[in-house]
Amino acid sequence: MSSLANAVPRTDVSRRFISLQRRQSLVGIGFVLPAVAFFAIFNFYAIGYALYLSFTSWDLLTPPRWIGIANYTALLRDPNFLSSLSITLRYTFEAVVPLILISLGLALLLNQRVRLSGLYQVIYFVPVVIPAVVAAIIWGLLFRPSGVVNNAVGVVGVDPLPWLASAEYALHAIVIVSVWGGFGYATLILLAGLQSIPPEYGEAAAIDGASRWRVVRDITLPLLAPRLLFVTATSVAALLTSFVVPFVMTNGGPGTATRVLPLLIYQTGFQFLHAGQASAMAFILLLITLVFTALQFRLFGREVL
Amino acid sequence: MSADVTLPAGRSLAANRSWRNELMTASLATQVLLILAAIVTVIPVVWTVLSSLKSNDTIFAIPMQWVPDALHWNNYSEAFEVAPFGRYFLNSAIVAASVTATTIFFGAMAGYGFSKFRFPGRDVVFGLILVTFMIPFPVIMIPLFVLVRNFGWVNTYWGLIIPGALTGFAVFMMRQFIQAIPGELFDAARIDGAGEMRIFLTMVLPLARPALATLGILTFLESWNNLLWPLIVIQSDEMETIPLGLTKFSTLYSSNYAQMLAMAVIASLPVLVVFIVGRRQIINSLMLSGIKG
Amino acid sequence: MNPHGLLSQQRNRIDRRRLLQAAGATGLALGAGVRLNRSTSAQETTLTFLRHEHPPANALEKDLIQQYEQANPNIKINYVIVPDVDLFTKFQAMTVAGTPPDIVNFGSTDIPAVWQRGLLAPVDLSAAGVADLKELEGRYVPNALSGYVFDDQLYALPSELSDYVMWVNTQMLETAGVEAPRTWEEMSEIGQKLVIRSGNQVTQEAIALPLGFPGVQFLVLDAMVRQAGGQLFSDDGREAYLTSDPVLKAVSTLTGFVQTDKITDPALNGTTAGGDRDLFQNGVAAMMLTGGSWYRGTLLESKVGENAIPVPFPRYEDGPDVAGDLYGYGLTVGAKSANPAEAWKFVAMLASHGTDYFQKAEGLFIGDAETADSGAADEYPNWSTFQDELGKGQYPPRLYQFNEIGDIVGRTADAIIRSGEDAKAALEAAQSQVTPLLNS
Repeated sequence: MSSLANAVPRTDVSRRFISLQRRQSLVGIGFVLPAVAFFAIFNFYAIGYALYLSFTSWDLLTPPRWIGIANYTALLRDPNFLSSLSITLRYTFEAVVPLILISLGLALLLNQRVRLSGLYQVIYFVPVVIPAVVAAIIWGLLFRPSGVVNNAVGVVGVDPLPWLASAEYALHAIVIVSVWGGFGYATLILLAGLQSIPPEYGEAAAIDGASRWRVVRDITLPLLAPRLLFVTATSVAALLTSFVVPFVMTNGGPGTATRVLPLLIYQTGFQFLHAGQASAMAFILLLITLVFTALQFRLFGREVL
Repeated sequence: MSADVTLPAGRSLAANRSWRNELMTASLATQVLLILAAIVTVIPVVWTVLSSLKSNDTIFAIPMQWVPDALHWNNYSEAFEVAPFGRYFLNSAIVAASVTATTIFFGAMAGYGFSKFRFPGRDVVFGLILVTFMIPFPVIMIPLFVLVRNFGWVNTYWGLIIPGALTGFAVFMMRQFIQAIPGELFDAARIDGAGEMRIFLTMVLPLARPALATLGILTFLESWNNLLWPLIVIQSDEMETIPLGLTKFSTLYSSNYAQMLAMAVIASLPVLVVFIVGRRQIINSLMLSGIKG
Repeated sequence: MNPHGLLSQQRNRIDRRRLLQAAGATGLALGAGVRLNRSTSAQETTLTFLRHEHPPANALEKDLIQQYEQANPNIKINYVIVPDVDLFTKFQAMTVAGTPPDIVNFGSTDIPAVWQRGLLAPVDLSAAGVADLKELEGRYVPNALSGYVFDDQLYALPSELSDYVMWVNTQMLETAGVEAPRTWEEMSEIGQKLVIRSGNQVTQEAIALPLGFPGVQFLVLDAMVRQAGGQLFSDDGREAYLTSDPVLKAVSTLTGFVQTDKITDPALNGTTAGGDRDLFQNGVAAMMLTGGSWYRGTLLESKVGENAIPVPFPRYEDGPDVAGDLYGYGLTVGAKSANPAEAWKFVAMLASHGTDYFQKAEGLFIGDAETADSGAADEYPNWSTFQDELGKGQYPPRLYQFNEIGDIVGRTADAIIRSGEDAKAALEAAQSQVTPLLNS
């Protein structure tokens, strides 16, 4: 902009032009200012404060006490924390795989000229809209010993399973609820991606004799990669920070079998009054989320044509 | 499946025919699978509605009955007596409406500022705002509590509304949309002497209406369903929102399942209504969201 | 360009900006205004009283407050009620906001933690109308105040004193033709006769265990370990004995009920705390271990109604005569209260209405000797059971980190009982987790 000012002789017109630019820039700043101020306070300051807290010991009642990296070193040796971390990772992985596969499958199915496609889309999206609390309550009842789920598995000849009473099955139960509550969203996004792929590609390949499966594998999926990446990355991030279902449905139980990290963070901060330690846990969770997101971009980002 | 052999031209017709056959049978299997998925999706909802009308004893009767023997509407009326659901509704409504209003207004303002104006540091700041998208809530929930406490907003509407008043996603979405609106319209208005705010209010907002509607609906849904923040900020019964009230109820009175399910239905109705009314918007926005990796 | 347009543009912008500023300022002012929730004039003293929800007790207290305010025109009581589970968080929020309540009705297990942080004022004995602690102790049943004495000073007056007894369903026992078991050993035998199955589903179980409810699980375990001749923690809370034999014995007794005797099915408990009480109230379990005298009120409104009686907490056959753990609530006054003397006067007033609490809140016992020996108590069915048990129970160890320790121990026990996994290993893990949290 300054070079422009030098190039043009300083007449009234150019002066007005420069000041117009500057005024426009001020106006722009004015428009974004509320948002920026908001994020500065309620996000960046908050993160900074959380980082500070993670280096303190604080019980929310008396002033914080600086303890350096003690929280972090303690956590890395704390079996409670490590166990919760392991549970969170297992839960995330166990949920995201079926979530993506089911969503992808349904998207592929819906991509064919299906009547009532709109109706299916709405139905699949209903669990996404239902409040998580409601879903947790409903499924808590469905997983009862004589509830719907056991009746359903009974139909295929399996004995009633202990679901929420057993450390082993409780995690599977939460996974099921999470997949149920999230697949609709992923399906629609993937469907949108599929519908944006020109059908001529597939038809050309078919004329060349390629099977349907090969079309999917070599043309559709690579073209879908950006959306797949988006859906996977956001699902993983959401699962890692999942709170409501473990909290309402099992409260981390039985024992600590479903006490995922967000739940442990909440309990540590607000029930056990170790706010500093809770902050440290939260930062470790943040780190893991970032690492996973970056990993996914690395692994699948390359597929983007 | 069929071998990936390049057939000579003469055979292509036969290949086409078998392709078409495949399409036909695939359609049947496709429909079956889709219906199956729809049924599995919907069973919990159906069971909930039916069971909310049963008498509490019969919900876990062995063998299981799907249909209630009589319609116990009293589960619904009693639900309101046991917990102040009217109050919870009011609180949820006030908070969700306010958050929606601030989000779409300030989101649009910021989106407009970031897309139609140039100023130093613009892209960096926008990038930073996007990054907030990635921050898991547990990281900032304690500091937010402290901030809210310092402002004296614990257990108040302010405390519920302000921290959720805007999201990085809202700014992102509005910027994407407004970017696509031709800027000449606004320049013309400026030449005619219209004030910046006037341009924003009378031109940008109406043109952005589809995005505003979608953002509004999504924001409303998310705010209505939020549990963790109200759990932290709210300390008394009369300030509770629906998810929080529902959680408390389910732990204190866990034995009247029929009533609990009636409450679950009641709690879900507003969001389901909003969804049904706005489904076109929501689904279209998901379909059109230009996500480029 | 239109010069007029430019000017009006500028004016508009300025007006808008001023408006936004004003709005912002108003917003902040409103927000700040919320903090000023106490009106204290020179003559008037306002005391904030924080208490958990318990409708009969709340109703009684509202009446008492009204009467007290009339008798003492310069005192105003700000009565704040929250659900039990939120009490501590509410206290925290108010403290951290700079406006801590004057009087708080804390759960007995929270009081050591609050005391340790210097947040409590000792009982003003003259305001309570006694000369010394001994005299005050005389007004209560034995042991009632023991949980609230720190460094020889008393820091709370009991507002609720309870003891876990075993509630049994008389109808189910009659149908099965058995008597209530007196020992854990008898429980195994008798329990078998109380289980009813339909196919491979248990439709009636002998006893409901407090699973998924770590704090309560802790209390039950604490008593059982004492009955087995040991302790979970030292009385001063500085040492943990989680891997000792008595603990193993207690845990394996409960595990045995699930895994070997199969007289209780954890799957029936559901996922929410208090599942055991629900099972008993709904007539699915014949016996239950976590109800005090206050439980009668809940029972009368449930399916079970009058068909339940309290019996002594089971013991071990050759073990000491130790009853269930004592627990309850205590009225405390904040160390930062502006007027502790007045606060304690008010508390003492409440504490003098033991009989009213007992009668109007269906057996809510505040621990005073007067009520215990009165006619009102005699009218309460099986009161002698409670009274005997109260004398033989003990408050749980006074741990400053009770929430976290109780959570660890409760969840560990929960896991062992449900899965039958190796108790020793799990308890060793718990011991190492608990050690850094002990009192120091």
